[in-house]
Amino acid sequence: MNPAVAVNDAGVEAPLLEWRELRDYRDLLALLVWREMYLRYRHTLIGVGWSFLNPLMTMAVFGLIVPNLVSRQQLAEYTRGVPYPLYVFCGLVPWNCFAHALTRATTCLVDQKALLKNVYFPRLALPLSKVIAACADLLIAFAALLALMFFARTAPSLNLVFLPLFLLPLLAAATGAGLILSVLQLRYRDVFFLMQFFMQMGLLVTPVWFPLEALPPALRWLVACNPMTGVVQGFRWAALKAPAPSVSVLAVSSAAAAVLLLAGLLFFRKRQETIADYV
Amino acid sequence: MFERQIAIRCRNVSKCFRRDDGDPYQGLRSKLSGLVNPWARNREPSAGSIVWALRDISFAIPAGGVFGVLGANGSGKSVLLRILARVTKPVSGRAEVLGSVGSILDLGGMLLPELTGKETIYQLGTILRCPRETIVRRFDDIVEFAGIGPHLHSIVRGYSAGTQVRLAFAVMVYLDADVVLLDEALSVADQDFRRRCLERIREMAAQGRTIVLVSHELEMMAEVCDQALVLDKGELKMFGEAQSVISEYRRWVPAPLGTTMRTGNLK
Repeated sequence: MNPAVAVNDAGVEAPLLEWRELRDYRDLLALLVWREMYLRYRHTLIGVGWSFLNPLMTMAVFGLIVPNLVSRQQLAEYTRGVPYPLYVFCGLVPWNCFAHALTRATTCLVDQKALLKNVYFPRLALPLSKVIAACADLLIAFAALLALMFFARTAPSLNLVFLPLFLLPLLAAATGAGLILSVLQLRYRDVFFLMQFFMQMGLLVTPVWFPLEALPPALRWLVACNPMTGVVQGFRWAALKAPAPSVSVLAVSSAAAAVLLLAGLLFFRKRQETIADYV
Repeated sequence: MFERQIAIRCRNVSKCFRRDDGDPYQGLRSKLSGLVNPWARNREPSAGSIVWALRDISFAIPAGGVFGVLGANGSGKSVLLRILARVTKPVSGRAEVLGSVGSILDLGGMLLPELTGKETIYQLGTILRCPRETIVRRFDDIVEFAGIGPHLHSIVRGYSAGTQVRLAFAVMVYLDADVVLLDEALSVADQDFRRRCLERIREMAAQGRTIVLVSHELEMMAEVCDQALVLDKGELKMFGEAQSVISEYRRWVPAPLGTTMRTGNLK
């Protein structure tokens, strides 16, 4: 067997996405995901339970306040009969996944100094492992949603088969934003705080707790530019038979997610080569 | 197989760092003020000073041997190893390494203190890109070499610092990488472990593997290395057969065992 030559050439530019290399490193990726899950919940009493307790409490808060702001009739019309707390919880499932993924991804390079300084691996694997770990949380929260639906006697709809489709823009947006934030955080430590602020704002401007249809059209388009808008609406349509997102809203929102992914890969491409110099 | 092939080749490798003097926003600010006011572009010095860590380094070493890297602190040894390990990219030039590369440039830094010794061996093996079968096959050798037999199932946090280093080192030298990069790996090892490490390193070299060692301990380096190079302020000062390079280097740095002597008066 003729061994491969590992080349480190200043003049050779890396492709946008080294898919094959990433696949070769899937063992390492699995290890990083495992470490992330393990480190997150070790020494906790409730452990994995946090991934559905968190949305449960948020749901309780919104469920207590928002129904007092509109007439019961109006609310039922918007949610097409879905109980409002369920409506919120279902939106929180993808939103929390997104928020978790970004929070973890932002510090993932800064935190892995030893690994980055010691060995070569496709740097993309680190932020990606955080996004994948967040998706594992999403699965647990989704199981909790099914349990809630059972108690609320809401039958899951057949639209459920389309649910994985709405994971794609979620993954794209989280990965893209995670790539940009993790690199920026290396040099500018304010990024983490800025990101936390944006996550707080993000929950308020994503139709997790309000129906998009309740907004005036001009504002609706602005909110549609949020990559998570299509995901949240799609999730709710697939799981609860809530009103389907309009095709144009879905298109705008998914396009935003795709742009974010592309921007992330472009931003990461050149900068990933010298990450070890900055950690 | 590839005994006389070139294992490592550097062609005009240079590397520099931009020093921001503790203010990461300096560069951003000068860029922004340049955008707003083009005249300001020349006024603010461009984002700190540039420090050259390596300048135009070229050399080639054949496979199957121990290669020593010598030089004072800050001479660029670690940066050179980082470039060989592909951890960072040179600003110009090209480095080539033949075959699989195993690098521990900062021993012990990668261990998770919460894991048991056994889990650590598997995780380090995975991080070093070793197929699972090889880890399984080599497992007993690693445990024996590190001498952690009785503590295999207790967590690494409870190990002494020296034992943690031994564990990482044992994984490193038993996982069959074609090229092994070791930066100051043996500085904390005790006499007995060091002797066994050197024996193992010679054994690996005899198998056709290439080991790159960074160390300040000239006695040891003279004993174990086949070839060596000396770096001084990022420049390649000497390169060649280890015995002659090291005796030349000794004359050049008069202090015994290469303790931190500056090179200012040596030109």
